[in-house]
Amino acid sequence: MTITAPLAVAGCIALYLLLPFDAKMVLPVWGGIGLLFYFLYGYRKSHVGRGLVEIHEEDSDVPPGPVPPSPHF
Amino acid sequence: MNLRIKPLDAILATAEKKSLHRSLGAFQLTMLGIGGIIGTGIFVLTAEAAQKAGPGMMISFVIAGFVCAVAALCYSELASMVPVSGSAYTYTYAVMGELLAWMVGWALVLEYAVAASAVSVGWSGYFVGLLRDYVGITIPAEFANGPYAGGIVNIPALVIALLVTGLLMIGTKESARFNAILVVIKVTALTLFVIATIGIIKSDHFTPFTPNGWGIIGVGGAAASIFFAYVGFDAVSTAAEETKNPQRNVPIGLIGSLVICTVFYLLVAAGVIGTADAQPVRGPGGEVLSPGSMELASQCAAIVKQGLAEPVACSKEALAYVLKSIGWQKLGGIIGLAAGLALPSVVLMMLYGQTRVFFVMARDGLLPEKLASVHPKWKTPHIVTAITGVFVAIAAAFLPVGKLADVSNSGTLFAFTMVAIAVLVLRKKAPDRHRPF
Repeated sequence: MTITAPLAVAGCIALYLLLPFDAKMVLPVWGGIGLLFYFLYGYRKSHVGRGLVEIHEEDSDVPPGPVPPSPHF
Repeated sequence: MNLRIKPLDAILATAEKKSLHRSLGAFQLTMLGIGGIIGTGIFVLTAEAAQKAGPGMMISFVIAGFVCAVAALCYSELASMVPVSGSAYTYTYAVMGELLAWMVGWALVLEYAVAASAVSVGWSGYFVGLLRDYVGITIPAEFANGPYAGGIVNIPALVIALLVTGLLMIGTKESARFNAILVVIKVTALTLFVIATIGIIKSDHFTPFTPNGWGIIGVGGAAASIFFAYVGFDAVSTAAEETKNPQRNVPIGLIGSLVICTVFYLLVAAGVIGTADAQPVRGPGGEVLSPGSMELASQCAAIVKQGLAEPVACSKEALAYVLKSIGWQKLGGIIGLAAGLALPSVVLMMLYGQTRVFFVMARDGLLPEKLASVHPKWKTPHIVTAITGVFVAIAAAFLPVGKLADVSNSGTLFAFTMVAIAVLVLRKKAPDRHRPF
């Protein structure tokens, strides 16, 4: 499966470049806002940055993921 | 700069502590994938793809499906190594550190929220058609379209987005049985469409095959837009930890659902092209018009005014419209009803995905934790849900579906790229780590 990852990277970048100009521009602008927010807020408040290793993906009150359809009626 | 990485082993340890009941098989995962994939993309964006690529959109479907398939294989590799119900954000945090993880999470927020807007607008097109044909209420075009599509505000899209937000805030849960019914409805609708059209396909409709060439407004650009029709398969990887023998079944579910959807999409596209006018609409001077533009909206209006048949690229309910135009009035209505019933649950799924990413990022300290606080009675992150819902509704009210889908795609493509790079980095950094897939 060596080839999948480079193909995925190339394919995704190619499709991104084929998007219309305005849609293409939203990502860097949104990303810029994100970077600003990270360095003003997240960088200092990050739990990992403070040396805490916590995994919250499995917290009981996280909004649930998609529910697999059950064929049992 | 020191790289802040969340150790993979810590994630694995948490996943092991929480021993979920492993009950899902390959069939259910494939159903989950199909349920996640089939949505606004095929029901609405077919018109968008026709405007860009004409009959060549069939190639666009294959290109977009292929890119999703290789991305899905990357998701498989990571999901089998790190079987937590995580997303691209989780994987990136463990492999490439906090900064990139934050950027991915931030892009996912964009992807999910804007996708929810896009699906709301897509639903609006079908809902307006249903009201007009079966209830006899015509919503004036000014209030059924955003400014780009020749209206003022898209009221139905605004209402559905707020309604779903409200449902999420009071704690609506998806039900396994209801989801199964929705998958059956969507698959049946597309199957009926294929059966009705396949016999009367005319081969001369396929020429010229690539009227706009291969570029941004052409087959390539249509692939980038129609990519939206495949997003949602990652739902399968989030269910990895509930899966029996995930190393075998997750890849089957991911690739199986993608292959089935690609075949469906190709058949549907062939039906649309072969029975209706799927050539791009051109301006008065023969110039190429981009979808979601005011020029296209006014050209479409001009065509209808002349009493000519509306091309597919103009329709807001492409599949229902095609069936009605070839005389299958009732069946067109059924397809419209199927889309009208099934699409709100896709809005729900997108908003769920958005709050989930946001919630975990807040718990990790990257966003103010107050935003993700849980309502004491509803047990839902009502604040972030409400904030997101308002933005989603505003975007849905004023922007065209194609533009929204494209913006959502830019976020998705960024996240997929990062997942693929994470796979590459892990192969270098931890070549000996157990890779069940």
